[in-house]
Amino acid sequence: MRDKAFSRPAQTTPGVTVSDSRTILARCLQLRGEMAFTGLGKVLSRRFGVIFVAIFLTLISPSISIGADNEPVFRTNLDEDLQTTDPFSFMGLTSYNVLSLVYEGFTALGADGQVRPALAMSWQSPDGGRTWRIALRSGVRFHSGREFTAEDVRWTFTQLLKPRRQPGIGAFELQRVVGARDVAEGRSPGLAGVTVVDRYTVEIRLVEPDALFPLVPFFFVDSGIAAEDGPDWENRISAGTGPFRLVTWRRGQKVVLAADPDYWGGVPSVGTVQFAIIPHAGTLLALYDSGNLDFAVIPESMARQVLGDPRYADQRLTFPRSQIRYLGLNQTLYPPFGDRRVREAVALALDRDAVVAGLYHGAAVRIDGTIPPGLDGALAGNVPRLPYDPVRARRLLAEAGYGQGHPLPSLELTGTESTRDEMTVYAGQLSDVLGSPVSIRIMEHGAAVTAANEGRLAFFVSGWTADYPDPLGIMLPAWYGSSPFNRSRWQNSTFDRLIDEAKATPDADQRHRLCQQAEQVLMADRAMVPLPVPMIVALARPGVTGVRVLPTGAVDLRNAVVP
Amino acid sequence: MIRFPRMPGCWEALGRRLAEAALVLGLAVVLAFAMARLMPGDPATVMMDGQGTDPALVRRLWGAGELDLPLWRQFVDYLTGLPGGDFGLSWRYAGMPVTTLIGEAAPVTLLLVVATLTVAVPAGIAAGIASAHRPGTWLDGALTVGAVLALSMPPVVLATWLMLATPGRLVVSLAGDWLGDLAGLMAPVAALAIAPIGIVARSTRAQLLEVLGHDYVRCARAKGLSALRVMIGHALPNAMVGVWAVVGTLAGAILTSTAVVETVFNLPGLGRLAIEAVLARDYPVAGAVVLVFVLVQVTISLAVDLLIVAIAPTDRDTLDQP
Repeated sequence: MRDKAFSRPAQTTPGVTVSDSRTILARCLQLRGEMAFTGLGKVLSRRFGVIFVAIFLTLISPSISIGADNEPVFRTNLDEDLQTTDPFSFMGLTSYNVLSLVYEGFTALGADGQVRPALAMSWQSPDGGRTWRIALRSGVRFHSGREFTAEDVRWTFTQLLKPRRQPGIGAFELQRVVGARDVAEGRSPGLAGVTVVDRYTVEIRLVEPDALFPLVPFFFVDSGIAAEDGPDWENRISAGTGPFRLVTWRRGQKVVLAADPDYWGGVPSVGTVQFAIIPHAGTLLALYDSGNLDFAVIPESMARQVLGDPRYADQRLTFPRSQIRYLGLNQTLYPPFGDRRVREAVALALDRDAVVAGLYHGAAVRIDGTIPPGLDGALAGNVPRLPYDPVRARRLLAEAGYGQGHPLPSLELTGTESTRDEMTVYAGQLSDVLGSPVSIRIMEHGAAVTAANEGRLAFFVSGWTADYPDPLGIMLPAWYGSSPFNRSRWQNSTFDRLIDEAKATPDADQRHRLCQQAEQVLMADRAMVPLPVPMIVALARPGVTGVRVLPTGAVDLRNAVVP
Repeated sequence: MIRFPRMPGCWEALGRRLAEAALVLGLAVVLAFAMARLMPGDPATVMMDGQGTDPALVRRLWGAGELDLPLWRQFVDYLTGLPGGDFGLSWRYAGMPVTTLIGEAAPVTLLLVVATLTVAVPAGIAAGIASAHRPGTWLDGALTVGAVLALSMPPVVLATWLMLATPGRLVVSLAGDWLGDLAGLMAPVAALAIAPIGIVARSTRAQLLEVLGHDYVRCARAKGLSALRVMIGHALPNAMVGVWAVVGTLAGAILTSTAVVETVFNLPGLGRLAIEAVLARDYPVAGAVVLVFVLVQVTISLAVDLLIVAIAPTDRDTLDQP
């Protein structure tokens, strides 16, 4: 079978076993084979009769059905499969969200979306983020029972850098550590930039300042595991310090976790968690409706249906995202956007409150800048609220030379299928106010993302999820001049200087103030048009309480209660 | 034991079919490689959902992989791996051999296709016989209407409807022991089988009506055999030659329809694997699944040709049909 069993064997199915079913299947195939190659006349009626009976008995036989799982489980969903269970190789958000229940880093994301200490008790940098001294939590034990120490940090970092076919996100983040390239290219067995000061203190030196280094989602791994369990341990052993142990991953089907009774943060109240991998949104809702799931995180494509359905009124939950959405305005590809008045007119032409109330049934957050509320460093009123003001929008366009008789050149708004409804609404509002037609173009998701990153889209719907719970996690990639993700290719030296300064400011409050100033620069220039961000929608069966969805989409089960 | 007739024309036709099959496979090999790489979007970018790590850095660190090699070199590596069944490693499932992924998913699809054919062929033949037995009667009319309705039903619509009608059965795929619970496959098999039943029924009826007009059938009737016996014992074997050709084509159509049905019913088969691989720009997996599908289709076509020659050598001319 395709099981990856961690720490203990996979559950067996009561009743008739898989091999029994295969025998039946093989017999049927054999019969068909005989039928096909022995001439048809006489065989046909008898053989088909036998096959029919075999199939019918197979299908109706109660002894073949799966028995009820005796162990109570918390059943929820993932909308895509894990990429891997290897804490050194994972890249995508789904893998991160599951593995973050098994493995931990220096810090973690709290249920409120703010940074909380995890395996680090405190972190300090005496030189503006170039050197980090991190005090580790004592008394933490891996799932093996071994204690977590500074040696595990050093071992994990070295392992992350060792050449492998698909290095994970951690390997990319470690490129900034002194000596990283030497380890990666096999010139050094040890990582020069990491010093074990004592059992619970580690010092890390970087080649350039990075104020966010302690927030990077590294997953620390039991350094004794490789010696004890041999190669390929990551596919067999749960080697983290997290609240759950990895029990099983069946590719394309499910992931099963079990609570760690020795977890340093307190034993989770949920004993077993089963993530069913359900890519199809309609199937997910059908499974929830039929009682096969306790908690369902609803894909965005189906959120509006769930929000508008009175059946779910008392089961519906909404959670904020650490995300921004915006209309990107490329001033090179569409020259009228080079005029600030045109950019402001586009911003004033959108009725955001109507979109929040009508399109999202109120389950969306209005954002007027680039720092989502709830994220560390968000400051209410830091940038002025963008009103819906079609009169002023038309006046600004006229001042810019685009009025009756000389309208704006036609506009095409590009986005993906998941944003089609929003785009339709925005295009309608813009057409009304701007006086020129705004059409929409839907691209396949991967193609759209690539085109946007390559700066090939003039007018587009885009967004950014905070890589770290800090404003820099959005502002640096999305708007910094030389960022490969600066999709509208907007450039502003004042903005870049503030971001450079923030990158080298370890003090969070000070860094956040710099980010707030940068946000004011961004919005004063009307560099983009902020859009409402829909909330994460989830359904919880009656009796299920205390479950939260973190801004990344991960399910937080620390306070979960399941009947 | 299959016994082939000694007819030069037959072997020539089979040789031609083999050559055509080789050509189709060769084209599929090239297309599977080219299509994957011509898809817009970068696998590293898609994996990170367009954000996070600089795609250029991802590609640099993935330098051991194929993405950074020249296209001709990627093609040569791809070709040299094929004879040994080496499709390389998946991009999406870190470090996982493509053959492992296909090996895990293939039994699901195989079971679906076999179960569908096992249901659809006998049911279609039975309906066709019933229809041809009393042509022009209310039963014939009803079966004809039913067959046309079945033919008109897109698998995605039928699958979605059946999924919504029987959501409790989906617990099978959640438990992950789908192979141990064949009852859970009833709805997906039904979604796949409805249209083929209609096709086989229509084909059987048409073939039977033609054969029933032949002299040897009239002779059998004149000997006093019952109508059913004439139908089953004399007319059907000859009528089946044409039906088998249809079934061969159907098997390929069912195979490709599994992508929709597996997705809707959450079954981890080859079709779903292919769809997810394409969306994730997992070139090696997407290409390999396409090749497997083509290989299966070509094999089935050849098998049907052989079967036709074996059971009705006089009909070898059907091999010359396109």
